Amino acid sequence: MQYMDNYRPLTLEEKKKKDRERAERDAEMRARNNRMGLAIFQGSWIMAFVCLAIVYLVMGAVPGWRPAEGHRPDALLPTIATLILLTSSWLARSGWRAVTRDDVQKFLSQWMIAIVLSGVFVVIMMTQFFAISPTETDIQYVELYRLMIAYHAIHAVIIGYMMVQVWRYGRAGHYHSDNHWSVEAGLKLQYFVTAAWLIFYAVLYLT
Amino acid sequence: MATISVPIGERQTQSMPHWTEYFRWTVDHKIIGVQYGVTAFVFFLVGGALAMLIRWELLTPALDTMASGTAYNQLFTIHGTIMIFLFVIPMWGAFGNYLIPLQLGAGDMAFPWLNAFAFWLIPPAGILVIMGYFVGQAEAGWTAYPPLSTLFSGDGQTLWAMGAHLLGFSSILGSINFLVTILNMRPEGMSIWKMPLFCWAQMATSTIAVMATPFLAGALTLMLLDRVGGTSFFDATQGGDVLLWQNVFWFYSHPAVYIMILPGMGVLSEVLSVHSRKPIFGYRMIGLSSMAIAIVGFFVWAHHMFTSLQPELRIPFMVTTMIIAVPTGIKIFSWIGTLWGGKIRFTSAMLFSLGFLSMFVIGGISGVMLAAIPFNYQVHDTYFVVSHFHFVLFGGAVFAIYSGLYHWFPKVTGRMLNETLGRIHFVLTYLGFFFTFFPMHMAGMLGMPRRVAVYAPELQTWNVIISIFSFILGISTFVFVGNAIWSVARGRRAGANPWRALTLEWATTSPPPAWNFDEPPIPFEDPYGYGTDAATAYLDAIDRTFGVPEPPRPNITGGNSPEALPSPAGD
Repeated sequence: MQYMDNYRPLTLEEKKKKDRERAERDAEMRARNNRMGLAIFQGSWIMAFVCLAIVYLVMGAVPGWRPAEGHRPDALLPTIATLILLTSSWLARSGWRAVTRDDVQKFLSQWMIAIVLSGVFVVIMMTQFFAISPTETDIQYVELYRLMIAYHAIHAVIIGYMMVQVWRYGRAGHYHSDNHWSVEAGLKLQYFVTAAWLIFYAVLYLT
Repeated sequence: MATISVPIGERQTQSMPHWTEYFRWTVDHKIIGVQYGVTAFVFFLVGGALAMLIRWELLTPALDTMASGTAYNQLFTIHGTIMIFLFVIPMWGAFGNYLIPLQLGAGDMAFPWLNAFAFWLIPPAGILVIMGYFVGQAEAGWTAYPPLSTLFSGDGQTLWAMGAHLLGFSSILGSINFLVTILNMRPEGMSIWKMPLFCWAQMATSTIAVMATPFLAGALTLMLLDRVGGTSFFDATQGGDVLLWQNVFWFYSHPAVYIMILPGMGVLSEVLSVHSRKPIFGYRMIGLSSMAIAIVGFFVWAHHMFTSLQPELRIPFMVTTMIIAVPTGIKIFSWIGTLWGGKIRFTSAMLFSLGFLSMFVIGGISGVMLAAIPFNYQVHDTYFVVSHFHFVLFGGAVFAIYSGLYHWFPKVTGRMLNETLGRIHFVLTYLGFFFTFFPMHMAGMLGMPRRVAVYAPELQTWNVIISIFSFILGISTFVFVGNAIWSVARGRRAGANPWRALTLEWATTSPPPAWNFDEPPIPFEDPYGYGTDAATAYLDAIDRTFGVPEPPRPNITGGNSPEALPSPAGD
C-alpha cells in the first residue's frame, strides 16, 4: 500500500492556475445547478396543477355535477387562447435562440411579441372566468372552474412580469451568447405556464 | 495497491461562529443547519409540553384540566402540527443542511440564498400555527378533516392553514436544494454508488417532498377558499365532498411519513457502521430501498380511509401497504447484518440507533397489522393507531434524531457530549417511551378512542400508567438539553474525527471553517470500508492532519467511559 498526502506549498503561478480552474469549475457548476434546480421546481410545482386537475376529475365523476351539455363554457375562445399561448412559447424560444447567437434585436422583438401574446391569453381567459355564473345546481362546478382559471392566471401574470423584466434587461444590453441564463429561465417558466395550462385545458374542455 | 490521499489544512482547531450569527440572515449552510435544528428543538419542547398537558388531562376519565372538549381538541391539534411540521421535518432539514455539503466535500449548498429563505419561512409559519391556538378553535387535528376544519372551527384554523402552506413551501425549496446539491455537487471519485447513505436517504426524502407537497398546497388552497372565499368544495350540504380532502391530504401526508422517517434511516446507516466498525451490509440495497419506499409510498395513501373507502379499492391499498414493508425489512436486516460480528461500541449514538431498531420494528409490525382491513376496522380511530404512529415517529424518527445529535454534535460544536448523561438520557427515554406507548396498544384494543378527553372509567388504569411514563419521557428531554448546554461550554474537545469515521464531513476541522475544506477533499474509496489497512491509513492521515481528540479527563463525569473514546485500534 502506498500512502500520500496531497499537500505541498504551491508556487504563485500554480496558485493562480488553480484559482482560475476553480473559478471555471464553479461557474460551470452554477450553470448546471441553476438548470437542474429550475427543472425540479417545475416538476414539483406542476403537481399543484395536477392536484387541481385530479380534484376536477374526481368531482366530475359524480353524475350531475357538471352542467348539462350546452350549459358548459364554450371551448372556442379557450382553444384560441391555448393556441396563442403555444405561439407565445414558440416565439419566446425563438427569442432565446436569437440571443444565444448574439442577435439581440431579434431576441427583443420576439420576446416582446411573446409577452404580448401571453397577455392576450390572460385577458381571454379572464373573460372566460366571468362567462359563466353559478346556479343552484352547478355551484361546485363553477367554483372549481373559476379557481382553476384564476390559479393559472396568477402564475401566468407573475411569470409574464418576469419576462417583462428579462426584456428590460435585454434592452439594456445585459444578454449575449455568453450570458443568457435569465432568458433561458424566463423561457422555461413560460413553458411551465404553457404545460400547466394544457393540463387544465384538457380536463376543463376535453373531458 | 491502494493510494490514500487526504487534504491537509493548516488549522488544527476552529471555533464556532459568534452566537449572534445564529440570529441573522446568513447563507452558510452550517449556520442555517444549526438554525433549523435549534428552532425545531424549541418547537419540540413546546409540542412536548402540550403532550404533557394532554396526558395530565387523561389521568382521569372526566374533563377536569381542560375547560371544554374544544380546548382539548385545540391541544392535540397544535401538538400534532408542531411535532410533524415544525419539529421532525425541519429537524431533518437541520441534518441535511449541515451534513450534505460536508459529506459531499462541497463548499456550500447549491442555492445558498434559497436555503436561507427556506429556513426563514419556518419561524413565521410556526407563529401562525401557534397563533391558531391562541386566536382560537384550530381544533380539527393535524389532519384537519372537513367539515370540522371548514364549517365549525374558528379563525385559528385559517391561521393554521396559512402556516401549513408556508411550511410546505419551505419544505419544497429545501428539498430542491438538497436534490441539486446531491446530484450535481459530488466530488470527483464519488459516484452515486459511493455516496454516504445519509445522502441517499435525503435524496429519497427530497424526491417525495417535491412531488407530494404541492398536493398539500392544492388541498390547503381549497380549504382556505372554503373558509374565507365562500366556496364549498368540502361542504356536503352544497354538493361538496368531504372525502376529497381526505384523498388529497393523505396523498401528501402518507408520503410525509416517509419524509419523516427516511432521513432517520440514513442516520442509522451511518451510526451503526461507524460505531460497530463494520462495513455497511448491503449498501446498494439500503440505498435502493430508500428510493423504493419513496415510490411505493405514493400508492398507499387510502389505507388511512379504509372505513370510508369504496370497497373495491380496499384490497389494492391493503396490498400496497403490505408491500412497503418489504424495502423497510431489507433495511432492518441490512442493519442487523452490519452489526453482526462488529466491534460494537455502546456510545449514546449507538444506543439510540439500537433503540430505533427495536422500537421501529414494533411500529412497523403494528403498521402491517393495521394494513389488514378486518383488523383496521376494529381499531380504527383508537389508541392502537396512536401507539402505532408514535412507535414510528418517536421510536423511529426521534430516536434517530437523538442518535444523529450524539453522533454529529462533536462536528458541529467541536466538543463531545457527555456520555454518562447520554446514557441516562437513553435509559429514561427508552423506558419512558416504551411504557408510554406500548400500553396504548392494549388501551386501543379495549376500545379507548383517540382524540377524546372523556373516556370510560375502566380504562383509567391504562391511562394512568401511560401518563406517568409520559412524564418520565418528558423529563428525559431535559437531561439532553442540560447535557448539550454543558457540553457546548465544557465538553471534552472532539478533534476532527472523534469516531474515526470515513465519510467526508470528518475530514475537516470540528467545527468546520466557513468554507468547509481548504482543498477539494478526496473521498475514501468506500465510505463504509472499515476494517481494512487502507481505511486505517486514511484515518491516521486525518488524525495527523487535523489533530487527535483531547484525551478524557477522569475527574469529569462521563469523560472516562472507555466506550466513548475514539478507538485507534480495530478500524
